[in-house]
Amino acid sequence: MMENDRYYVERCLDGHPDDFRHLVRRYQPVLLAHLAGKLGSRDRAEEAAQETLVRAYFKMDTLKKPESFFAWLLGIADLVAKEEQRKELIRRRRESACASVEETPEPEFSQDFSLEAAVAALPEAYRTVILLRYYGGLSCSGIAKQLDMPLGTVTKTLSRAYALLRDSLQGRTVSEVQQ
Amino acid sequence: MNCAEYQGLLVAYLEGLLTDSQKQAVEEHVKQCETCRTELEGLQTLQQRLVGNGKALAQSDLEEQVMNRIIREQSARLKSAGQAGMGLRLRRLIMKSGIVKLAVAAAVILAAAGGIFLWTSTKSGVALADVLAKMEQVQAFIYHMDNHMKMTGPGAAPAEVDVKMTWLIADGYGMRMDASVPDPATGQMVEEQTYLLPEQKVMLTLTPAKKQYERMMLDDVALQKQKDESSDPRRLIREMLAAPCKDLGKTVLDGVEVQGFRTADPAFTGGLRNSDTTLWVDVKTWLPVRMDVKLKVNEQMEMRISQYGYQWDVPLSAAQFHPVIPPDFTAGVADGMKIPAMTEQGAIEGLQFCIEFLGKYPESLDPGEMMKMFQSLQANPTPAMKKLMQEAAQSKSVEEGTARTMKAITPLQSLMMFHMSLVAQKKEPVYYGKIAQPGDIAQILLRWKTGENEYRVIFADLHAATVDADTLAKLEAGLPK
Repeated sequence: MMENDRYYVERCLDGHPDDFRHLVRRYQPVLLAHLAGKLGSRDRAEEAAQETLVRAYFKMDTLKKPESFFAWLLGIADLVAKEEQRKELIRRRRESACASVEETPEPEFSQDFSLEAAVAALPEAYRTVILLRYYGGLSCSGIAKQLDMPLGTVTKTLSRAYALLRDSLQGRTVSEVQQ
Repeated sequence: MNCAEYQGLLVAYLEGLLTDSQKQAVEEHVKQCETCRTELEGLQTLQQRLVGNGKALAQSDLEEQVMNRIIREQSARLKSAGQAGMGLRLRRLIMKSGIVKLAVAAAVILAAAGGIFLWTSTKSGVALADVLAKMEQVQAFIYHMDNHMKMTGPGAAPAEVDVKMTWLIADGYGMRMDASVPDPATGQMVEEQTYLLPEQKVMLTLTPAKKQYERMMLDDVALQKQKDESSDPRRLIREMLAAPCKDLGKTVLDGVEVQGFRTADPAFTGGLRNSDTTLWVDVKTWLPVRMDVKLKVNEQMEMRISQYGYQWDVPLSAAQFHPVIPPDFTAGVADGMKIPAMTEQGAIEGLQFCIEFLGKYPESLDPGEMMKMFQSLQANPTPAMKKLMQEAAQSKSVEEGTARTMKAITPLQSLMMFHMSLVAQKKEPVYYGKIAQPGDIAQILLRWKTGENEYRVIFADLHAATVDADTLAKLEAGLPK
């Protein structure tokens, strides 16, 4: 039987590091989706997700509310993504400074980068619901439980998130067509 | 319903959250209305895209990579624990492990203090006396002991600790224990060897995996107890004899015909009320085959101790009892710590500790109650407690944090164990912590019987005196029992 986040967090804190793997299993797709949208490449997203999980493990004793592990994990992921983006920026600058015009490698997009980017660009409340529903494998009632909100609010948020995603995807399609 | 209202139901429809009649209404409407049908199809397309992307991402497998990185970093961080940035600091375990060790100490001591030989007065005494007589001829023996502890806090995940030990005991040489204990930082089992060295008054523990040694200092009382009691099964049988026990009759255990005895006498466990001990003895040799002790210290802590796999009269060499500390081993953080003194002076220091940390005397000296008190103190700490917790949290390593906490609460252990020993020795201890005011020179705090018409009393200002029964009666006159 799957236990809740709090249980595994406390198991880790009680000296059972191996139980962290349950949390890795539970959140790796969500993290990857979250990071792929921000970083634009599957490989970089995987690296950043690893880094996020390892950091989360070693910082677990600073987690005040074990039940909000997921929100906390996304916070760490954002930090890691920002660092990655900065490194990438420096790398690009250095490369453009060295005029030995080496072909900038094509960013290796994951399967559906436009979708991942659109998800990453959603306001947080909508993004969380989308991530949990499609990447965290939760049902609407599961999300309601995890985020402690009424079921009706979950479907409403989801509905609004779809509208935002479709707008954003259509906008992108238009600009892609223009190119 | 109008189109906007139908569209408001589409997500719930796709999620299968509508009632049958609502579902039917949506389906009917979508058939007729092109706008809503297009909306529904748009949603379905997006959903499929999200599902597909989710599946693609779920195929990445970070689990092993992440777990391997954690294990590598954990051990690297532990090795350089002297530097900043350590492994995951198990804050809760640090604070708890003082209590864990307290409980282990309690368990070891549970059988230790008795000593009064009452076996002739028990019903099954004759048979048990045979067991004992047989055992005392045994020169050297080995046995296994498993100690399982389970702790639950309110709203917290249960913590379980398993310690596996092999004891080697030889009359002429002393005692050695090889143990497998979980490392508080990693949860991995770590091998340890512990030697009792009576001449040096030291208990030495070697941990080869950490290239580390630790010496615990023993005072004479503790030395005597450690030497001839703690985990010596002969001692446990004497304790068993001293308690009212039930004959369980004969049965077969691991192919051996055995006879069982069972007791739940609190005196057997130093006053712990919820205990249950079973001893099985080989009917042919009258030597123990298995012993199980179940203890419920309080609602939050349970222990199970099993002894089995006895090998009697085994050839053991002196070398097995004389440790050599390899030159590259270093002293661990607990090196030099004192074993809690189970003496009147130790108890007085424990009571002083309570005033400092609680601001008053504890209401009860029952180990379960004391543990609860200590736990509530962690949630709502006094300044002295806060300081202790901060020090533990700032320690360079888990071990150091544990050692600091342990060192700090040693007086509390002394107090608890001293009281347990009084209960086990049936010295009629009575404790008045509920009503005693710290500093009151005339108020009785703890008393116990030391002889015919003779009692020892610790007063609320922590001086001690020996009094006769009349004086005691005057002191206790008017006090609630």
